[in-house]
Amino acid sequence: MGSEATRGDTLVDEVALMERVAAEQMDAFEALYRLYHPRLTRFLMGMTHRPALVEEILDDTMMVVWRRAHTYDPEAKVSTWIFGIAYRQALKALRQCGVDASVGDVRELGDLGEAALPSAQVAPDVELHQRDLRAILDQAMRALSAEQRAVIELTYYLGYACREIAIIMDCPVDTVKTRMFYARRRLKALLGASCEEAM
Amino acid sequence: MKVLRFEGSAHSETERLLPWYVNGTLDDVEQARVDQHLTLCPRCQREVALLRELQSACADAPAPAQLQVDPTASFRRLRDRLQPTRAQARKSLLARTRDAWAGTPAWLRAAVAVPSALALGLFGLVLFRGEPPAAYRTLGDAPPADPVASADLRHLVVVFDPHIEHARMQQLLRASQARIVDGPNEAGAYVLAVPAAREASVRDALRAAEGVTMVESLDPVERR
Repeated sequence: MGSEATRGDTLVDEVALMERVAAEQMDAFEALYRLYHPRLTRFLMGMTHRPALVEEILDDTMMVVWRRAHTYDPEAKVSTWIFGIAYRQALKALRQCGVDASVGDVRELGDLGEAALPSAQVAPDVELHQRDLRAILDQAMRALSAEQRAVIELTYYLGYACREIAIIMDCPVDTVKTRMFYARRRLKALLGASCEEAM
Repeated sequence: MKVLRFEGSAHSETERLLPWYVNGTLDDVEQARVDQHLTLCPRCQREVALLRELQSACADAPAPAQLQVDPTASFRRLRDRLQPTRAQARKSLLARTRDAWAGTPAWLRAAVAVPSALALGLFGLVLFRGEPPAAYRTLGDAPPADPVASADLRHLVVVFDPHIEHARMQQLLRASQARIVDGPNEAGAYVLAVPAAREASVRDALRAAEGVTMVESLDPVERR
């Protein structure tokens, strides 16, 4: 994910786009918005697990992008700059809802409810399909903190390097590795041995 | 959360890198180290297989139905939020006051209007009388008007945008056939003299002009 991103078959020079946004060109801002809307929606949903908040945080993020475009440093990646803003806006929104971003929404697997584990508990010997795995994973992710979910989304969905995630989250690389370490350990504990084998 | 230092054994160091090995973003040195370790470590091999499944499950997860929104509609909504903000900043003080006034209940407007009219009159008197027009004249000035000619002049208090260019200000004054007779005072207000017959049209034109923050007639209280 460099300074160029693809939209359809067209290569988009994101740095040039940012320069035009900084010059208050609304058509450039719309192009940037369309380019990032799907990725930001997905990232914010993955991080917050609160669909009702996602649109609001996305709007707030893009408003900051519009207003602070002149502060963007062309040496940096456009995407890490934008996701850094989105991350901070999401933390702010969660804080306003009284959510601690460093703590999971549910503490134990039992809290997830019966529906959370369609196959792992009901029929542990049955091979789990990808769809089932996704459903289980989605529920298990709720037990992680928003910070841990952000690391997972940024790594596995958005494909960022550890160093880039550290820039987005404005923390040391070791903190990113630590969050990922605990997230993996917690997921494994939640999903259980049978699920692990299936995976 | 205690931040872990990943400088232990080759195994634990490598294991921490596996998520980024799987997503293909390690640098060459890290990549080589992990490749080498993987040939020797069945546990890490299993972990890589597990993480690939996790990555695949993450990447394929569809967005919830309520978030599959049309970006065109959401962009329009955002643009509507942005544009009033910028337009508001450019709007003149007077226009903003008018907007606020229009949104005020009728009874409150009536209650505010009478004392405000008196206050405005006093404000005008302070602006105009508190700082009497300068006594000195420059060569380019017209000779002092005699009392009869002055009677045909009306006065406007004008506040320009602090960022207005000098040339633009001159242009506005020429177009209005207005002459600065006083100012700027500390509030940045000027007093303009305009022919009585043109007072209303000049006032309206200046109010509509970009770079002008406020225009008010000064004379009603004093002269009418």
